[in-house]
Amino acid sequence: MGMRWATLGRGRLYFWLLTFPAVLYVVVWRLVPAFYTLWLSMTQYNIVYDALPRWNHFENFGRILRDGGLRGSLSLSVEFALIATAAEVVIGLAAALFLDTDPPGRNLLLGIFLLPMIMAPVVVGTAWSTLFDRTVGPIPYLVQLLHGPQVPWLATPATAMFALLIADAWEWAPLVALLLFAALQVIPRDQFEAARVDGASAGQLFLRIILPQIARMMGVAAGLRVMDAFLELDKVFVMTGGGPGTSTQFVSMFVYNQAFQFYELGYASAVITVVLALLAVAYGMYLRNYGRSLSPADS
Amino acid sequence: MLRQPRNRIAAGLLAVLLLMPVLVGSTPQPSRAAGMTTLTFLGPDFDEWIAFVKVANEIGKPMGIQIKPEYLPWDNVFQKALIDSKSGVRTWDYVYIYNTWVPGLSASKAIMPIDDFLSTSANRNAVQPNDFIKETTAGLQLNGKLWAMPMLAAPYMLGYRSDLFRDAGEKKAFQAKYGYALTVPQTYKQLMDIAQFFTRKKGDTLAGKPLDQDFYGLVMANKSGGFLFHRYEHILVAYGADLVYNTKTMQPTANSPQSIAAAKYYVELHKYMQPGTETVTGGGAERVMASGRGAMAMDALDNMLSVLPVAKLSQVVGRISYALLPTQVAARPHANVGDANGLAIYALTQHKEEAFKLATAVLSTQGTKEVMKEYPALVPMRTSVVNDPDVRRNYPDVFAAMSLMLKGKPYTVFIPPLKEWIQAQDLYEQALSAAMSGQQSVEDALNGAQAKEVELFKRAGYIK
Repeated sequence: MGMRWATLGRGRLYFWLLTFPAVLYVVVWRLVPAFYTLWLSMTQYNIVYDALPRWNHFENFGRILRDGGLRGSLSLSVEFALIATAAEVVIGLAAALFLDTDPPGRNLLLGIFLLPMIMAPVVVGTAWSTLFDRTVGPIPYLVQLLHGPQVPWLATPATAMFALLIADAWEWAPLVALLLFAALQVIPRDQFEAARVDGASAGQLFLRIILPQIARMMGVAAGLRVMDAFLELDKVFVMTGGGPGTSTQFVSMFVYNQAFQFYELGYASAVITVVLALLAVAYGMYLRNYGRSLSPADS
Repeated sequence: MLRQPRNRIAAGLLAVLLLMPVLVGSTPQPSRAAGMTTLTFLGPDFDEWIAFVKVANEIGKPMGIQIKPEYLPWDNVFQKALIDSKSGVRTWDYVYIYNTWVPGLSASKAIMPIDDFLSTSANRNAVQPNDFIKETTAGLQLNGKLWAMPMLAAPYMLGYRSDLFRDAGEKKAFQAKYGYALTVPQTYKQLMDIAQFFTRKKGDTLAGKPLDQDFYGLVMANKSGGFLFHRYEHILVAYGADLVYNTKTMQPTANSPQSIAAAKYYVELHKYMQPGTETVTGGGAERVMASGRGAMAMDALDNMLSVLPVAKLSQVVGRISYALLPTQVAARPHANVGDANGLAIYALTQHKEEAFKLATAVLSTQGTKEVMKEYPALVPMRTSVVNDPDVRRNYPDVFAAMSLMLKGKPYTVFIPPLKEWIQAQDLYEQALSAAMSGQQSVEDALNGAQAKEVELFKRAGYIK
C-alpha cells in the first residue's frame, strides 16, 4: 500500500525536507531556463549589439517558416537519426545474439564492448576525427596500404556524414546491445529446446521465438536512440563543425551556430522551442503506443 | 523528531547539501595571494602567448604582479570574452584580441580602450604610441581609439622551397610545360601553375629523387571558424572584391563578379593543396610543410617562422624563403589584409591600473625583445624593435620579411569596423566551404551567402 499524506503524521517535515532539493532542482535548473528560453524566443536579442532583449511580436517564429537553412538542418537530423538508429539496432542485435550464446570470457567481452558508451561524446568525436585525419589518421593509411582510393573522409558531404554515422554507431550500438542482451536473457531456454525438438531451424528460432519476445525492447532502444541522435551535437562539433559547407549541420549545430556564432539568442531560442515541442509530441506518441503495446501482456 | 540519531544525521547531511553551493561560492578568489596581485589572461593556446605570459611573470615579479593564463582554442576566445562580459563575469583582466574581433568586442563593451589610460603624460611616455608601426596597428584601432596593446603583427606571405625553385631539372621541366621561367609567383595565375606543377604522387620524381610519399603544390589551413576565410580574404581582395560588403553603400557584395571569380580560383587552387586541409589550422598546415611535403605555403609570417626554421620541428630548415603575396589586379599590388594581435584590457577587470602597468612594461621595446627571446618568430609592432641592431642580427628571417613588407608596399586593407563582422565572415566562409566540398556550385553558394548577408544587414538596420 502506498504512503498517504494523512498517514505521514510527524514525518511531514521530513517529507518536505527530502523532496525540497528535487523540487528546487526541477524549478531552478529545468523550469526557469525553459521559461526564460520561451520568453527569449519572442524577442530580438543579439548579445553583440542589443543591450536587452526586445519583444518582436513572434517574428522569430515567422522566420523559422521562411528559413531554408533550418529546413535543411531538420532534414539532415532526421536522416542521421534514422540511419544511425537502424545501424545501431542491427549491430547491437548481432552483438547481443553473440553474447547470448555464452562465449568464453563473455563478461570481459561485454565490458570491453560497453567501453565506448561510457566515454564522453567529445572524446569519441576527437578520437574518430584523428582516426579519419588525412595526414596522420590510421584509416586513410590502411585504405592506402590496401591500394584503396584516397577518401577525403571529413571533407566531402557524403563521406563526412558517413564518418559521423560510424562514430555514432561505435558509441551507441553497445547500449542497444546491452538492452537487447538483457531481453534475451529472460527468454525461457526450454522454448528453444522445445522448438528444436520440433525441428525448427536457426532462422525460425530467431523469427518465431526471439524476435517477438525482444521486439518491445528493440522499440525502446530504437526510440531512445532516435531522439538522442536527432539532437546530436558533440561529435558534429568536434569532427566536422557542421561542414563541409552545411552538409552536416544538424539541427543542434544550427541552433549552436545561431546562438554562439551569430549571437542571435532570440532566434536560437525560437528554433529550440519549436524543435523541443516537436520532439515532445513525438515522445508523447511514442509513450502512448508503448503503453498500449504493454497493456495486453501486463493485464 | 530529531531525537533519533539517524534523523539528526539525515538532517545534517541535507543542510550541508543545501549550503554547499553557498559555501563554495563564497570562497575568496586568490587574486592577492601572498602579497601578489594575480591578473588573469584569457587567450589562445599559441606559443607566442605562452611566451608572453612567461615574460610577463618575470617582469611582473618585482612589481608584485603575476599572470594566471586560461588558454582556449583560438576561435573560442572571442566567444568566451563576449559571453562572459555580457554575463557580468569579472574573472578576467586581460583578453587576447585579434583585429577582426575589435568591432564586436568594443561594441559589446567587453574591452576598454587603451586611450582611456593615455590622458596622463606619464602613461603616454610609458606606452610610446608613436612608436607603433601604423600599418600594423591600424587593425586594433576603431573610432579613433586604440583598443589593445599591439603585440604581434601577422602579415600573410608566401613561403616557398627555394631549393626546388632553384633546381635546374625542375626549372627546365616547368619552362617546357608552361612556357615561362619558374620563379617566385608574381601573379595568381603563376601561383596556380606552380602549385599544379609541384603536385606529385608517391613514386614520382622531385628534384631528381623519387618521392616516398605524395607531395603538394600548396599547403594551406582551411578549417572553418576563421582559418579558411583568413587565408582566402587576401585572394578576395586581390581580385578587386570588397571584403564581403561595400563600406560606402553598406550593401553586401558576396556574389559580385569579382567575389565569384576569386572563389572559383580558390576552389581550383584547392586541388593542389594537401588533403584534409578543411580540418587543418595554421599550425597543422605548417607541420605538413615542415615535413617536406609542400612546395609553397600561404600563411601568416609568424606561423611559418615558428615552425619552418626550427630544427626540432622541421626537415626544411634553410630551404624556405619568403615573398609577398601575388598580384591579380594591378591597382592592388600584392594585396594583403592586415592582421594584428594585441592584448586588451577586459572591461570588467578589478585590477585595471595593474593590468595597464604590466601590459605597458611587457610590450615596451625592451619587453618585446624579451618576448622574442622566448618566441623568435614574433613579428614586432614597434618601430624601435624592428630597427634594433640586436633584432636585425639575431632574427634575420623576421627582419628580412618585415623589410620586404615595408619596401614592397603591398596594397593593405583592414577588416571594416562592423560589429557584425564575425557573423558576416562566417556566412561567406560557410558558402566557400560548401563550394570547395562540391556541395554547391560557387555561384549557388555565394548567391545563398548574399541572401543571408542581406538579411543580416537588414536585421542590423544598415539597409532596408
